[in-house]
Amino acid sequence: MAEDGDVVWHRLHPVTVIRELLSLLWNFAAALVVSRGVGDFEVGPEFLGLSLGVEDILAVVFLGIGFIRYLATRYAVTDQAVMFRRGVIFRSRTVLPRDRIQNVTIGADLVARIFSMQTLTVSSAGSEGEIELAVVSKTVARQLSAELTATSTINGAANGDGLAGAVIGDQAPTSPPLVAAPGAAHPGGSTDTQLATSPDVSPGAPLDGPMPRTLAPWYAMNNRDFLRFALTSNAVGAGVFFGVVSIASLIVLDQFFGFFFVIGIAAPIVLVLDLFGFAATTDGDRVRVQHGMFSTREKWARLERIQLGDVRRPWLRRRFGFETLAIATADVTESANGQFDLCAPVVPVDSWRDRFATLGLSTDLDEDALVDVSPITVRRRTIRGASLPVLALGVLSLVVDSTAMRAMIVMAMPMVVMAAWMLARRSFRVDGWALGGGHLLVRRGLFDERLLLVRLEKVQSVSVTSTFFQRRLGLASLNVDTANVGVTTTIPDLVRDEAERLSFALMIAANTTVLVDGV
Amino acid sequence: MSLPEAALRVMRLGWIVAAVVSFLVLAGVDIALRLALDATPPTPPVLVAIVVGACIAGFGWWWGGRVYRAWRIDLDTERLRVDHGVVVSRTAFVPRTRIQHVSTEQGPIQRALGLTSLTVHTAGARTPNVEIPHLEIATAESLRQELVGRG
Repeated sequence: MAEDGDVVWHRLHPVTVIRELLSLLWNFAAALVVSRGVGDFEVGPEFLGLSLGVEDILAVVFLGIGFIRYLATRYAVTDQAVMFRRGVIFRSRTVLPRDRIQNVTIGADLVARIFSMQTLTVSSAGSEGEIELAVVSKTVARQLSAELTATSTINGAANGDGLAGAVIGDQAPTSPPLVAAPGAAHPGGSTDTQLATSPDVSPGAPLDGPMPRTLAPWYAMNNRDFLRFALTSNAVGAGVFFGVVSIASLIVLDQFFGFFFVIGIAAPIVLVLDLFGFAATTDGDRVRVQHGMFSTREKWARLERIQLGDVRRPWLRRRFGFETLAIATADVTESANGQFDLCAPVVPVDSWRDRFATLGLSTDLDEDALVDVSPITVRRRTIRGASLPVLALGVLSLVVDSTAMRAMIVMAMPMVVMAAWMLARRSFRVDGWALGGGHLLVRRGLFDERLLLVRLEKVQSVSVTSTFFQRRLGLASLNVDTANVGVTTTIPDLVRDEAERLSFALMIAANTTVLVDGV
Repeated sequence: MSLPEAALRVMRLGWIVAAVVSFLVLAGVDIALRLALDATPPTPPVLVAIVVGACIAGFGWWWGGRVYRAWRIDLDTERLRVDHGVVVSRTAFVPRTRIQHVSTEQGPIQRALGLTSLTVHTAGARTPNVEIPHLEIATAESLRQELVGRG
């Protein structure tokens, strides 16, 4: 291994060549197919008495590529980071600081198992944040995994900026760290063992160790709430629409569209099955959500992993005085499942503050504190909303033959502009933002409203974008990126200077908080 | 900090290559049609291909310059700031405490010019990567060490 201050690069085990060749198999097969189209021929230096066919040449070429790839792949482990470099024509190099390591996984795919080797994968919470060492010997895998998952690594004492050390020390594990256990065989023929670099790294499962505290009821959907949700949901609305269309076509046209009728029936049934028995419970550290009729789904999330609270108000639901609450978490072990989704499908409007407070999302901000975006946005949105319809009407007016029709089309143009203006004003009144007390509150929408409560400590990055037309109007949009998937926080059409000031404020707030594992 | 001058060459080179490819394709089509149809169109041979290729090259020369000038990188004790974009200008701010890891990638043309691309990775879901193209190798290495420490 590397000594302090030195970088010593290591090669993977030579068995890796076989793995590289297998990964090139499809390319080799495709090349063979193409060569068949070219035709059979033989080449070779006559003086050696060789006569090589196309397949022989291709095999040599691909063997060479596999071997060169192996030679070009190296890794290094220092007291600061794990580094990996790969590629000949396009060379890549990844540097993963040791205090950002989330998981170290030891596995064995088919090639590794045949030769009694292993693959070691080091992951961070970042995108494309995996370094896969395939293949290495079992000894190397054992040594590396022990070194990279050691407590001193987690504390990051070597990196000198005091990042993770204080945090981990303050968050002493309440349960013993997860230890390597024999992995279960996977359908793909690989065997994986995951070593956590910090306790309770997976928010998707109950904690091991001491008995969890008692889970107190947080939300339980009764039949009346379910009916409210169903009658105001888009899925049921679409289903009813399709059902009505199919029945109407039967009566009027004597034609039954069975497909639409099935959708009309299926949508409500799917809703019933999925949300039946919806209930959420919490113990102050975690929240558990259960729902489902025949197949009950249970999801857990750690409250400290909540990135933002999401309040959804479809216009019909809002008209009846209800809203839907959801939370978005960062699940770094299953990045495809980072969206936690619903935690309370139907609650009275404006009850989100009290509800979220019990999940650790406590804020003094409310909708009265929202600041408007720039009023210039009304002009921009009107132009954006009206330009295409007006253009289409203009083209239509040139095409129609009837003078009366043409006159009607021309008269419709200002009405389209007026409608676009009214919608732009409506969305301007809804949009707003507020910053304070460690949170950012953003409201967006037109008829369906959406409120996002973002924890500033969870901000990963901020970007300010400005299109060509926004720049002409002195406007910019602010995008706040957190570790959850599915929900994005955007404040559109701020004055450019305001966007920059807000981004700096978010930077300062993000930098003052050190996150465990960076999420 | 701006991108090095060699980056401008790379950005323009892409458009030049596109212009050459367009010329070859159009010229080939022109000649093939003349031969196949045994006809004599009003324009001289491959003139259209030359004009189109020249237009693409000219536009690419100008556009490459605009894209190059839009790139700015700034690193302080708090955050990394990256500005880029012409039609849609973008400014990305990444707090230094949120950087997960850093990777570099170098293609053959970049290697010939002593350049490399640097990508900063965060745990963000919407814009997890901030990529800075065509930095000088020494600058990229220095930036990498600043962001994630000495490797």
